Amino acid sequence: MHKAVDSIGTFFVAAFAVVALLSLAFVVFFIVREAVPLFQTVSVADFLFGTRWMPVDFGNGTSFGIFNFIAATVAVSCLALVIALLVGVGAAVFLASSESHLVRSLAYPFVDLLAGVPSVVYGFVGLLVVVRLFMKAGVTSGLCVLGASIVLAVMLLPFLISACSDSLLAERNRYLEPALTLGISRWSAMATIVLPAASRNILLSLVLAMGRAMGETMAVMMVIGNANVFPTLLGKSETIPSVIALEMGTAVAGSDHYHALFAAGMVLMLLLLAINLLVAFLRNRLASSSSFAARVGGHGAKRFGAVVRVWAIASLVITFASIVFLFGYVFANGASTISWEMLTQPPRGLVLGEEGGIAPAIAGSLAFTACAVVLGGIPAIACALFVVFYVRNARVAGAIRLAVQCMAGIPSIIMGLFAYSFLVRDMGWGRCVLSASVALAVMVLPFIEVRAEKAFMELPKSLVEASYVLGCSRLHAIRTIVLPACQGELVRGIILGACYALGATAPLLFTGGVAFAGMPTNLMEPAMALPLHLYLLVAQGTTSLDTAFGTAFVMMALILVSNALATVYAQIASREWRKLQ
Amino acid sequence: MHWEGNLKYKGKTMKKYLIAVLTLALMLVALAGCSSSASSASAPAASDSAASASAAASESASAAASESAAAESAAAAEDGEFQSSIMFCGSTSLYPIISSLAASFTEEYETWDKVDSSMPEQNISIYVAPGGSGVGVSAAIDGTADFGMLARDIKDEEKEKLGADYKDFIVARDALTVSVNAKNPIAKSMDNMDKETIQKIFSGEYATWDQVDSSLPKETINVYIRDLSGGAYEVFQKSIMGDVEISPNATQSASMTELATNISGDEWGIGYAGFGAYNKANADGQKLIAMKVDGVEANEANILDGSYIIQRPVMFVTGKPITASEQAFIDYVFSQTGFDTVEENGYIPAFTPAA
Repeated sequence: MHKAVDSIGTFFVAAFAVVALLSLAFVVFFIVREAVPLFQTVSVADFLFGTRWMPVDFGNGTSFGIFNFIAATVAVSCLALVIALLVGVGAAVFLASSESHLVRSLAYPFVDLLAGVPSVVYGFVGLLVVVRLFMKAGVTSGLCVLGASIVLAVMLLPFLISACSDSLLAERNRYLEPALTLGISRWSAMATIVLPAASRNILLSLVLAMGRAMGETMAVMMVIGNANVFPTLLGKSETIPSVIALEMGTAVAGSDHYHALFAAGMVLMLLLLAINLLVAFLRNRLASSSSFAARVGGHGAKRFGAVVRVWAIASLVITFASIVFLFGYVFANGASTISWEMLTQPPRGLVLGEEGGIAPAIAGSLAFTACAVVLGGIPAIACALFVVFYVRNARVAGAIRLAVQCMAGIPSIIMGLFAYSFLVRDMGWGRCVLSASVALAVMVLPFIEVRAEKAFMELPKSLVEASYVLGCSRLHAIRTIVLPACQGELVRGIILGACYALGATAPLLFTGGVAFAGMPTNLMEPAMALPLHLYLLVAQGTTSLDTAFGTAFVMMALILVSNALATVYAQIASREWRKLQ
Repeated sequence: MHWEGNLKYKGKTMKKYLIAVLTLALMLVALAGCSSSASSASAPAASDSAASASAAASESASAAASESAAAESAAAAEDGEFQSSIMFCGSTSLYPIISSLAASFTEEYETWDKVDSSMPEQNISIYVAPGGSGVGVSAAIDGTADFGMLARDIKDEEKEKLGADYKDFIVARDALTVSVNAKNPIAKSMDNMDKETIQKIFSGEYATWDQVDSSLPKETINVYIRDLSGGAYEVFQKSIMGDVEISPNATQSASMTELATNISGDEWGIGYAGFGAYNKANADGQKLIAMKVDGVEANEANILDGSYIIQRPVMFVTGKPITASEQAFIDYVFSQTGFDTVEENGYIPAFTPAA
């Protein structure tokens, strides 16, 4: 009996893990399938190195050259990374060096709030704040590459800070105490010992963040200006995700233009794959060289330490200030529009949105999010369980992790394209909540999987191994020990994944999000969604920005509340579990 | 004893991997089967709790459901099964108007029997998806939407693909003004631009304002346009530019309102703001000034009689026969409410409202 249950359980875990990995394969397959027909009419060299992008024939023929787009994508990402690195590493150094565990346990979730803010809200605030600043500074229209990089840098901060923190903390625990007893001041020790020791990992997380940066669609598109020119600091340009989002709607299905957009997406995916492979390769290479020499001592070190201290504090202040500003700006402007009517009534008015509320959008967003979390969370947790507890071969585990990281790097607009091509058109599901939810699920899957894996790895191995020794089957151990022990972190991961899905716009654009619908009643009909509603309001620029601020307010409030609840629950659950031991 | 247990364990692992592979194969077969037969797709009818089952099972289950439902709903229109939901998809210019009308229609009537007592008591569901004129037409062609919304003339090959039941409903006319910022001194010296001048400005041949008129300072001309593959871009290209390409330095905007906002924020900007967006931008004081094109002013009379050349129809099309419920909503669109909505959104109604 137990054996049968165990087999079924194992079967389900394996099946869901396979589903998770298959979805990556499917996405790649469909994008490639729609991209390849382009190369029957356009040569690869012309496509990659041509600078003329004229998708419609106005008499001078069509031309598909994405060189400027590739350059812009890389340029904006690199610049954003440099800015995020300067601020993020500084903040991470400060937090790692802090003696107080309490400060850390408060600061990290606070910084994580930045990760929960939807990209369309970043674009919205970027348009209103960053672009206006640049306009005042003299840049025509204020839209430029530098502005986009700054907005993107703020979006990358939480990822960099959390990635750096782990390694910085580990190195700090190893080296700070001995350094202090040797008489080295705290800050010089951080600067000259801890930071170089963690530099390898910081470099690796930088490269991973590059993937995140290159795939960003909405925020960059709203701020960069969208002109097919080679990127310059204060000039406009256009990234690959922007081109896809802007032109997918007008490309005639099956035309060269349509295939060209998929091909551009494929190029982006290949770039990201190359980066991920580079990371995997570097990790293996650099793993061997873990020793290093640090030169310490003298007045130079003290002054250096002082500089580092200033840098770290300044970075932390900048980070906190951005978080406070972002939330404060939206809440201050949006608070006046929030009313019971706004939350419960559908939109009304001759110009839609002038009166009434956004109730169908709130309900629609919740529907999309719930479906996405169920469809994506289950395979994600199963995949994490599979990798941590079932796979014995390290190389297979590494391959699965690589696949998940590749999935994490796929831009959300490409997930949307996949769902559009496969579900809406090929499978005939049409525009509906389910099609969009599958796109969202695939997007959220790696997000949840990484967090689940981290939670499982942090569990003391002795617990699980002891249970095996006592004769428990693996499924039993998972059911009674692993899942309860990690439930706090798992729930937190799922809620964070839900916030991520809540804020996503690009996957909804062509799959299930609509400009107007009633309250969602079944999964095979489309629905409104908050981020899409905000984007359309901004793009259409209706009578006033009030409704836009109100929509942003509701989104940010939902994210803030769920983040807070998730963090508190995680703390309580882990404390409970520790008590039980 | 130890290695005996080991062998049993290995057997289990083998079985587990085998099961995983079988699941994989099953899914691939299901999907291969479904994707080849789903060419007649229209949105399947209300479905099961697909979200609760596993993703693999739900994919094959609803794929099977959609196959039969697609065949069902394709025949539904002829069978007389009532269509309670209507899907519009397409143009970024028309969707705000249709959305507003859908909202007021749904709020006023709630169920179809209140619209016309011969219809059943089913909830009214009208969906309006944005995306662009291209997506609108292809959605109408492949059946994922009932009506495709366009803000340009329909192409012949698109009309052919829509089939013998093709019908179009022209809701409004939109004109593209050639607008400059109200602070631009050019407005004082000229109020008319001929086609050639406009061509040279937009193509980049005139890079600074002093090349247009020597009394103006040597400031860079900042050109604002719509996205490259959209209807507005095409209309401007065809009616003004001809064979000459617009400069790649021009800033693309995702919507007319964004375009108008960009010009009003840039003293040296010029762009083809839509007539409605132009009026909206000037609602609280003159921010934009529209140039006459070849001597013709952009006003309602000139647009409606066709003498203003940069204009486009705003319409929705379909390729399948109109059902009773669709007709009821279409009548609503062309009523006084529709007329008011079109005007309020800044377009010129292309119809006189039915009494």
